[in-house]
Amino acid sequence: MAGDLGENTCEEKVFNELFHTHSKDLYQFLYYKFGADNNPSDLVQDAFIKLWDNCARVPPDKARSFLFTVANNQMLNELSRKKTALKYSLEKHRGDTTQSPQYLMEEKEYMERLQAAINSLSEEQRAAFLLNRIEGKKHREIAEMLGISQKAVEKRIYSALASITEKVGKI
Amino acid sequence: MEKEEYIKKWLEGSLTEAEKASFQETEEYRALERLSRSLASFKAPEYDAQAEYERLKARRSAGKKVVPMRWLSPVLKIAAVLTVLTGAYFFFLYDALTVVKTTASEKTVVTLPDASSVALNAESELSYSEKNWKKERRVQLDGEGYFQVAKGSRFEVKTSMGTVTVVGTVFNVRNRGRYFEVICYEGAVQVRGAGEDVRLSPKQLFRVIDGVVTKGKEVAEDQPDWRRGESSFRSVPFKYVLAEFERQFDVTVTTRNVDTRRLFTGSFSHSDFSVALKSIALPFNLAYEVEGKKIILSGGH
Repeated sequence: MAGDLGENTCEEKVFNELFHTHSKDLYQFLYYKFGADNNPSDLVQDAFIKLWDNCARVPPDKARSFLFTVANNQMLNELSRKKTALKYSLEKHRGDTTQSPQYLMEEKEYMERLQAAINSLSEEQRAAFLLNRIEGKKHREIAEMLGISQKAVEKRIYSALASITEKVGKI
Repeated sequence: MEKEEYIKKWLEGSLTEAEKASFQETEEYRALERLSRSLASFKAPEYDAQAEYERLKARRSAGKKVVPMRWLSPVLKIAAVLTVLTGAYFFFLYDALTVVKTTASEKTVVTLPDASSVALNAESELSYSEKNWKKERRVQLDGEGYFQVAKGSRFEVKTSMGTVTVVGTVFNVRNRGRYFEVICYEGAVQVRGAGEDVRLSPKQLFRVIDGVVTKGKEVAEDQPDWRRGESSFRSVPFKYVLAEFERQFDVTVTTRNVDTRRLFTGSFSHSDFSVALKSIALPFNLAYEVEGKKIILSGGH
C-alpha cells in the first residue's frame, strides 16, 4: 500500500499506485461537483501533475487530500468555469420499447425536472448526494473527500434530497 | 415514527424489516424508489484509470525531471527563457532588419532592394527588412529622409507621428520629435497621422507641429532644401530650427531669454558655420557666443 514508511511519491511505482488508487474517486468527485462541461478528467491530470511536481514534499499518505484540495481549488479559481450541467443517458434503462407514448413522455418530463433539480443544487450538496446515491460512497469517505465532518455530509445529503423531491414532485 | 425519520433511515439503509414494510406502503417510498432508479442515469462516465495514466505519463514526460537535479530546474527555466528571447531577438529584429543611421552633420543615401533610394539627413535612422521586402515595401524612419521610390507595389514609410503610403514617387519625410512634415515632389502621397488621412499632390505639404496641422499648402522648391545644402523654414517654431542647426553642425545650442516658440521663417546654409549662425540669430535680434561646440543665444537686449 502506498503510504508505507520510506516510500517516496517521486518513485514511479508509488506514483503509479497513487494514481490507480485515487484518480477514479477524484474524477467522480469533480464530475458530480462541477459537471461534465468542466473537463473533470483534465482536472484529474492537472492535479496529478501538481502532485508529481511537488512529490518531494507530499508523502504518499498525504497525497489524497493534496489531490482533492488542489483539484478543487483549481476549479474554484477557474474564471472560465462553466455552469454545472449534469446530463443523463437513458440508454441503460430503456429496456423494452413496448411502453406507451404517454408513459415515455411522462418519463422524459420527469427526467428533465430531475436534471434541473440536480443542477440547481449547491456544488457541495450535489457532490455529497450523488457520490452517495449513485456511487454508493459511505458518509465517511465523502466527508474525507470534501474535507468536512460526517455529520455535515449527512445533512447535505438529506437537504439535497429534500430539495430534489420538492422540485421533482411526488411521482 | 416521523416521515423525516423514515427518509433518513432509508438514506442510510438502516430501516428494519418491520419499518421497511410500513414505509413501503407510503407515497414517499415510491417517489424515493423512482428517484433512486432515475438517478442511475446520471452516473458519471466510466473512468479508464489505465488510459488516463498513460496520458498523464505522456504529458509528464514532456517536462520530465530527474529528482536529484531539482535544484537545476529554476536555473534551466531562466536559461530556457533567455535562449528563446535571444533567439527571437536575432530572428525577428536583429537578423531581419537592416538599419542605416546618420550622426550629426552627416548625410547619406541608402539604396533599397528595389532600387528606390532614400537620402537621409543628419541624425536620422532608417530601418527595413530585406527579407520581407518582396512581400511588403516598408521602412521605418526616425528623422528626415528624401525618398525616390521606384514604381511598384505599395510603399510605406512608418514614423512615430504618422505613416506615408505611396506607389512610386518622390517625397520628403521629416519626423523630428513633435514635428512631422511630408512634402510630395512627384506623383501622389497618402499620409496618415495626427488623426488625418490626406492625399498630397506634387509640391503639396502636410505638417504637424506640436499638434497643429497644416495641410495642402504649396511649396515652391522641387526638392527639399537640405538636399541643396541648406535648411529653410517657413513659420516653424524656433526650437525646431535650433534642433536642426544642432544636427547640421553637431553643436549644442542653449538659449537665454529667447522664446523658442516664436515662428521662424528663413534658412541657413550647411556649408558655412558662421554665416549659418548669423542667419538664425539676426532675424530675432539675438546675441551669440561660441565656445567650442557650445553656442549660447541670448535675447532681450
